[in-house]
Amino acid sequence: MPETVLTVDELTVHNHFTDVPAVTGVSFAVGPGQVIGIVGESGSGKTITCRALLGLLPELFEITAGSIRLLGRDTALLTEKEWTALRGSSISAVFQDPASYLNPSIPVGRQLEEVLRIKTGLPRKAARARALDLLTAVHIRDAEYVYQQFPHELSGGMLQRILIAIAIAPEPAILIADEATTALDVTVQAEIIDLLADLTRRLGLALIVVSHDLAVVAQLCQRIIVLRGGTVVEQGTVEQVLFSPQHEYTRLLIDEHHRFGLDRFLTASDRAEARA
Amino acid sequence: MSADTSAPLLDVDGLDVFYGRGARRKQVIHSATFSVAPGEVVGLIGETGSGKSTIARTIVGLVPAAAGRVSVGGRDLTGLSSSAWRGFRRSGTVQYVFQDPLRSLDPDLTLHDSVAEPLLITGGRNRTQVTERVLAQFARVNLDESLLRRLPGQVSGGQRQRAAIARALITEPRLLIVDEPVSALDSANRVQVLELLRELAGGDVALLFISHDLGSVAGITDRVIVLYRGRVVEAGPTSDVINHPVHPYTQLLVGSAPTLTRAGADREWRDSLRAQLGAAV
Repeated sequence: MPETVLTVDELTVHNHFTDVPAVTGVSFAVGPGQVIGIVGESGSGKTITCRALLGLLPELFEITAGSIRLLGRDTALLTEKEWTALRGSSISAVFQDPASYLNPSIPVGRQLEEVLRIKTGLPRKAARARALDLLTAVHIRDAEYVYQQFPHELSGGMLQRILIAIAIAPEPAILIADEATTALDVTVQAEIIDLLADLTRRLGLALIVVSHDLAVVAQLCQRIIVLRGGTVVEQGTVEQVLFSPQHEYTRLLIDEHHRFGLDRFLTASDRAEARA
Repeated sequence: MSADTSAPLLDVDGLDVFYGRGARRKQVIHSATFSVAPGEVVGLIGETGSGKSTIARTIVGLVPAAAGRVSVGGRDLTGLSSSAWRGFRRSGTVQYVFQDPLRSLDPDLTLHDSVAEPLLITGGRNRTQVTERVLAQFARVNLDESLLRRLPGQVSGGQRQRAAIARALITEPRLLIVDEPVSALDSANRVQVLELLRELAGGDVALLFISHDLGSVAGITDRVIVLYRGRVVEAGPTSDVINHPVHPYTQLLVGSAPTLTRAGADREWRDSLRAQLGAAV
């Protein structure tokens, strides 16, 4: 039984601006190397949940009930300074639009190096060597060349890889991927999904995958949470949620794939294989 | 679905398109050839930069063809003068629906006025007749009449996209080009718009459905055309292409589409296809 990296217990976040709860009673736990998926449409509370986990709730949002334990520590008791130390080094995140998180006028390799120097205290030369290693680890072929390129010279898929390299640089225990593949072409999306799967296996990284697309989440996760209107409508193993969904909304998400996606063309044997 | 292949509605034959000029001139479409039969639903699939929107824009005359022929209903469009083009556009035989209706619909026009506009441009109808036609289109796309006086910013994304489709339909087009029409919508709306498009097609309206994701349109297309780096690399009935993809890129596309049933599978297959495609460059 692996120790738990993150335990969320009955998390409730209140929006003081609209005076309605944004998230109500969300509970889950993730251990090293485990992957949990959070699925829901816009406004379902998935991003607010992630921001609560990162200690980055927007103004007027407040955790009013429940608890978050990160590596055994209750995050409600953390000071701002402790949060800053923890964020990046213990819990990290990548989001939908990688270009907006990078400085357009600094080569991407130097931005990665900077994170390493600040978060791990490595001297310049060692940080550079480590940065090149990390670029290779996120499947960038010519790391030396990409190191000195600017964000505008790289494709969306390449930028997302750089962001993942930056996120895993301080060796966090848990990574949140919030719609990290949404803006990418399907073939590139599959590459990033494969990369994330690799990282959980190789580094024992715990992963939270957030997406509006159930199938994207299903590629990676052992467990899935379906959120709607800030509440959990369904939660269970991938098997349970995909093959015997209980809630009408989950059925809608699945039905969409069955009716319009590739699933309808896959034969019964493919399905048996997938279940096995 | 009528499969009258003897007389295609849209016929694209040996189409070459270039962007830029002088030393920067670059070929983006390489002798693309395909057709769409009346009432057929055809998917044009490819990654960012593969040229799918360029082809669509060439069909409606927004981008010039350097070589080859585009004809609609037997009429060659490639040689049209600009005034002949204007007349053809006004006829509304081919209509185009964009990805983001918030940007394609005029934010200051009510949905009624936006939907009515193509008819007013065509001319020859009085107010009552125009409003009648607008109401008929609203019914056709399942939009409630109570939304007639709303602005695009006052309705949901799905309603907005249905209004954009109603606007395209009001000229009774024979070919509707829809460019990633559901990419910006959430599940419930996506299902509704896809269902609507499926219902509309057949009979008089053919659909050219542009998407980067084979997986999201497989269920509504009769045939798919796969575009890779400006070239048609594969074309055929949807189920054939999915079950027996021939070109490595099509294979990668099929292997990359997230499915519920094959979740997590295909990893090694994808890696080997990527290597093949990488080597081909």
